[in-house]
Amino acid sequence: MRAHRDASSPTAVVWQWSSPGSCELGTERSGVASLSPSQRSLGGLGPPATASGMGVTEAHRSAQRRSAAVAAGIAGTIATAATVWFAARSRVLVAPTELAVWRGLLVASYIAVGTYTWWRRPESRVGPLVAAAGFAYATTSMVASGVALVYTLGMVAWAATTVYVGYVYLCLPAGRLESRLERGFVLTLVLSTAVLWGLILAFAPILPTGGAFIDCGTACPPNALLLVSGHPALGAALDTVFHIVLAVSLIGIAMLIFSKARAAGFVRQRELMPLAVVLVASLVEFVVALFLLRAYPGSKPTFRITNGLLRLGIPFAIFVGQVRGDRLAAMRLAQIAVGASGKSLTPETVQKLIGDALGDPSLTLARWAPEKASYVDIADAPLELPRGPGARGVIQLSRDHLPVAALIHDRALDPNPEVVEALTATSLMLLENTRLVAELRESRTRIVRAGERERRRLEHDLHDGAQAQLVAIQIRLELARELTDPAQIDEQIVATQQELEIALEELRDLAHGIYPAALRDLGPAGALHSLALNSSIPVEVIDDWTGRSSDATEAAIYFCAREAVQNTAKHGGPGAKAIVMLKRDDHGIELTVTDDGAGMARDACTDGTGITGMRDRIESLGGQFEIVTTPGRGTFVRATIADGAP
Amino acid sequence: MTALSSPSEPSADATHSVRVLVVDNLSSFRRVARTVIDATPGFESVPDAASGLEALASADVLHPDLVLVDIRMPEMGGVQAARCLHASHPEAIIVLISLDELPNAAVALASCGAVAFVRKQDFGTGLLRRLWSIHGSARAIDD
Repeated sequence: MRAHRDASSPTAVVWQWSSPGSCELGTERSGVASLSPSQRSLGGLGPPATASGMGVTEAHRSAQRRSAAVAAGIAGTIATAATVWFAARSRVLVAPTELAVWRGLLVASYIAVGTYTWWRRPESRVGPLVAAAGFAYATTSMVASGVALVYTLGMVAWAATTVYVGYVYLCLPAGRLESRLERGFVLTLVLSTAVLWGLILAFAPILPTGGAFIDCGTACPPNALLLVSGHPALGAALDTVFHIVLAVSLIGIAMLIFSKARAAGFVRQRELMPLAVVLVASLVEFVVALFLLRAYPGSKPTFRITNGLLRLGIPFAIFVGQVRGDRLAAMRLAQIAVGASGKSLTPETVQKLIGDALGDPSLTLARWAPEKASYVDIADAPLELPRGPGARGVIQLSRDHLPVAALIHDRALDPNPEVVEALTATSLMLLENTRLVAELRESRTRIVRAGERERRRLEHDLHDGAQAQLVAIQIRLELARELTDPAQIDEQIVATQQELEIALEELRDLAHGIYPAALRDLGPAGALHSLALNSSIPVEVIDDWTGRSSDATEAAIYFCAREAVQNTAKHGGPGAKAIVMLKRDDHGIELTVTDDGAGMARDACTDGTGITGMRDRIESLGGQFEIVTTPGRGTFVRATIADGAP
Repeated sequence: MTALSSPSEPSADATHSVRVLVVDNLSSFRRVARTVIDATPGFESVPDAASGLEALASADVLHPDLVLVDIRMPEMGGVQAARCLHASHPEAIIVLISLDELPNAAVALASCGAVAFVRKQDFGTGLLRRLWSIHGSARAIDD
């Protein structure tokens, strides 16, 4: 399975389901190629892909991912080691060993969670974003230096990292900012921080204190980039403003994430809730620390621990959220399968099942209708896929580059790639199922109606034929009893004999129509020769196979050939000839009927009951039926029934 | 076929043979019916009709006294044909015939002006005479 973003519609992700088998039928010649309805709507293609059906490109990409993951792992380890080493060796940080541990853990956990996310969901930006946060935090190790310039740069890096991490939180779980409010918030944060720090660097001799893990206590080096000296009060004021901005941002981010979680579809909610909870807890801790640290400076180490735990809790919460989301999605998908079994499936039921499973009641199932060259909804009304930003999300399901269906869903849903993959498989299966069920019902109705028609025809033929003859005979015999003149009596008896002859002939023809003696005694090849002899048009029979098979198979072959020859006689025009060929190979028994007649128009080809009857007969035995007709060039019919069919 | 001497009843009308029109899409019945009619003294067959429309056209020309109409015909069915015939030739006796039984015979007859329903199997010289003596002579008396 591969996914790529549809260039014309940025909200749509197109999933390709590749099937390893090649297409057997569906050769489009000029004119009409008639595939069975199920084959037409699914692109007439082979069986669905299995896990072993990975193409060369898939294996290549997997190897790429693996090597990239290894590289990330190595880089992450280096970054963590560097962070720990710099922090432990620091002469300005308050508790170097302890801080080294916390910092190392932070860097490692962000990079680990980011790499894991990227490994599981390579299409999502979340992985790289989170891993980058880890690396960014590693750069703040410059703060551990006692050299003023390095320290100052480290603090700038810290300010930038803090803003960046806030941005990353807001990007979850989709990997990008989704509302104007979020975008505005981030923009404001970035601008205000940039302006503030510009001013701080310019005017403040002492840089603001950062978080607990860049705490240099009283040993902080001075601002190396100071431009205008002599304004410590301004510096302190800017310091306060910056802390207010931080506090407000934290509150804002927590609120935004919390409201996003509450408004989200339930899969997303599961993913976001842990993060929201941890952020709110961090907020509470921040506020509490703000007051208590002033009152009780000795509680700093304690707050360092709580702070550390909560901050480590964030990448952990991101990780837990993903696992929860995946697990819930898997459960709900299983629910679809359970919900679908034992039910008669219609497109409406499938739409409801998938919508319920994803927690999106507004989910719309669109099926690709090749006869209309557009998508149609479950009521078979034409449907346009939503396009452009702000439109509803679209998941397109296709098989071998041919569209099959699409799921139109709430944007808040944004299911992760694995969910989509499983969903695609399930949806395609369910759709195939509904299509097959509908087809089965239709073909059963056709078969029953065909049977009724046959019976009516039989009754009619008997009534007007043999029965009428016998009644006439009865009347004649009664008349003969009343006559006295031997000559007249003789006349009646002779007439009676003639009528009996006719009646017998009628019955023989009728029986032949039901099941010809030649078919019973000689098999399809012999019956076809007999058919050719009695046909009104020239028929050539090529019998490469003269064997026998089951009654049903022989009947299907014979009556299909008879129907085809009759069609040629009826529609082929003057001088039409038919060639009937019967052969047998590994695929089974193959019958072809070719004529050089006038061919049939498209409507006659697809609507004629004779053709549908032929198709039904052959397909009900598991065989394959194909007809190609071109006006002016003739008609070609091929029926193949596998060996050993019942 | 000449009329043959029949030992039993005298001909229905010495001066005028009863003219019988047979209406049926099946030639087998038309053939044998005409044979029977012509073999019955006092009756003669007129050229038969293979459909209701043909029957209407023939009746206008031939003015039959008795019309036998098969119920089961394609296009214009027997009952409809009988109705039209009765409307255009009220003097003719119309009899419905068929291979099968006719449920609700009374209703069918009343709806189209036919006077009787007979089965093809029962058709013969005796039936023909009986039909005419019951319904035809009644008509003759009325005239």
